[in-house]
Amino acid sequence: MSLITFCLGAMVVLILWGITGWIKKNQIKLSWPSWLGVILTAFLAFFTVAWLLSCIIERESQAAGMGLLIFGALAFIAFGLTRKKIIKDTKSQAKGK
Amino acid sequence: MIKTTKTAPKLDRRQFLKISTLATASGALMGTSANCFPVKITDKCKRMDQKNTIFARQLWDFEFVKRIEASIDRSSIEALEKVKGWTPLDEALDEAAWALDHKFASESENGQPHSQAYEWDEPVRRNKVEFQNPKDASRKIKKAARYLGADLVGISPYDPLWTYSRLIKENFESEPDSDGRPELEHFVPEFPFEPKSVVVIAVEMDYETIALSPSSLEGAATGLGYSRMCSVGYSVATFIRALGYRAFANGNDVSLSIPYAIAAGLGELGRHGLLITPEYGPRVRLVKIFTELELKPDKPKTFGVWEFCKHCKRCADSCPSQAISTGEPTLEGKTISNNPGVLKWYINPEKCIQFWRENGSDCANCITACPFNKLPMWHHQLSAGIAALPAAPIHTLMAKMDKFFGFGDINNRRANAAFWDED
Repeated sequence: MSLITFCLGAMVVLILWGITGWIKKNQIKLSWPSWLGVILTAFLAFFTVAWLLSCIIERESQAAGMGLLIFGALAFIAFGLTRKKIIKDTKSQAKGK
Repeated sequence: MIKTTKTAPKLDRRQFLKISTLATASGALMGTSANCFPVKITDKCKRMDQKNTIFARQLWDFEFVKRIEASIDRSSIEALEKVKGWTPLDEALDEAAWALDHKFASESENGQPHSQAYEWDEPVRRNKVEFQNPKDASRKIKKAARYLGADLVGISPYDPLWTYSRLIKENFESEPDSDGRPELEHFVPEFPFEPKSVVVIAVEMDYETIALSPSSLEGAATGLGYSRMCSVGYSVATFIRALGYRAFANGNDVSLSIPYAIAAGLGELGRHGLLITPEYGPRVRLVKIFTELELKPDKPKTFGVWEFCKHCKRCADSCPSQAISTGEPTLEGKTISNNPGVLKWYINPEKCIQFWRENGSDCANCITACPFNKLPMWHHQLSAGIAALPAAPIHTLMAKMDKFFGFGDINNRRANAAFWDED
C-alpha cells in the first residue's frame, strides 16, 4: 500500500512538472478557465487511478471497472474540453502577436 | 472601592457574522453531534426480561421451536454439503474460528450469564492502583484495551435500563423433563458489586469472509468475532481486576449491547437493528465490561446513519427472510423478542432465526449488504463523508451506486468457490 501511495505521489509530481514545463517552454499564457480545466482534468485523472488501485487492493473488481468507466469518462471529457480551450487561447495569443 | 460593572459586550453586525460563521464551520468540520443519546426512548421502554430474547426462547418456548423445526427441510441442509461455502473444508474453518469461544464462553454465546470467561466474581488484587481522576483512568483503560486486541473502545456510564430485569440460566446438573425441557433458573441479577462504568469494546469481523454470506465461511467470520470477544473481554476485565477494582465481561448475556455501544460513542443504530460504526460499519461484535471503577464516559455521536438508513433499505432487500422493516421507524416491536418503547426499525427476530436454521449456518446478509460495511480506506471514508450530508436524493443515489459498483454482493457462489484458491 505504501509503495502504491509513493508511486501515485511521484506520478502527480511528474505530470504536474511536465505540464508546467510544457507551458513555460511554449510561452503559453493560460486564461483562468483553462487553468481550472487543467487542474480539474489532473484531479479526475489521479482520482481515477487512485480509485482503480484501491479497488484492486480490496479485490472489488466490479467497483474498479465501474470507477474506471465513470471517473475515467469524466476525466476524458474534462481533458477534451480543456484541450479545446487551450488551443483557442494559443490561437488568439498568436493573432495578438 | 472597586466597582465592577457587568456590561454585555456589544457586537456589531460584522463581528456577529464572523462568530456565527465560525460556529457553523466548526460544527460542520466536527461532523458529529455529540450531545445526547441519539435514539428516542419513551417511558414505554422497560428493562427487558432475558427470557424473551430470541436465543433464550429456544430453551422454553417449545411452540416457537416446533414452528421452526417444522419448516426445516433436512434434505436441503444435507445437500448443502456439496455446495461451495458449506463443504467439510469450509465447515472445519468455521469450527476452528469458533473454537476459543466454544472452549471458554460457549454458555454466554447462548445467553447464559455468569459462566466461564464471563464469570462475575473472579479474584481481585487487594491494593488498588489510584488514578489522578476518572479521565486519567479512562485513558489508561482504553490504551490497555487497544493493546489487548480491541479495535474500538468507548466508555459508558452504567444504566440499569439496559441490563436484563431477570436472567435465565440452564441448570446443567438436573435432568430435562419428559418433554426434553431443561430445568431453568430465572432470577433477578445481583452482581457482587455496584457497576459504575461500562467499557464497551468492538472487535472487527473479517471483511472477505463476511462477504461470503450466507455460508459456513461467513459463519467462520462470526465465530472468530465471538472468539475475539471472549479473549479481549476477559483480558480487559482481568486488567481492571489486577488494578484492584471489581470487573467482569459480558457478551450476549446480562445486558443489551447496542445501547451501551451507542452511549459509549462507538456508532449509531441502523435499519437492520445493528450498530453502525464509522470505521467498520456493522461488521463488528461487541463485548462489555462492567466495573466499579469510576471512568469518564464518552459522548454518543451521530454521523448521518439515521437519515441514510431512512432512504437506503439495502439490508431489508438482502434479507432472505424479510425480517428487516422497509417502513418508517416505530415504537412497537413485532414479537415478544423486541423491546418496545424505543423509536427504531424493529426487526422480526423469529423470521431471522428461522432462516438460520433453514440455512444450516448463521447469516450476515444485512451486514454484507450495508453500504457502511467497508474496509477503512480513503475512497470509502470519502463516500461516508458524502453520505453524512442530510439530503435524501444523495442517500438514494449513493445506495444505488453502491450496488451498481458491486459492493455488498450477497449469495456470491463464485467468491465462495474461489476462497480456497486465493492466497
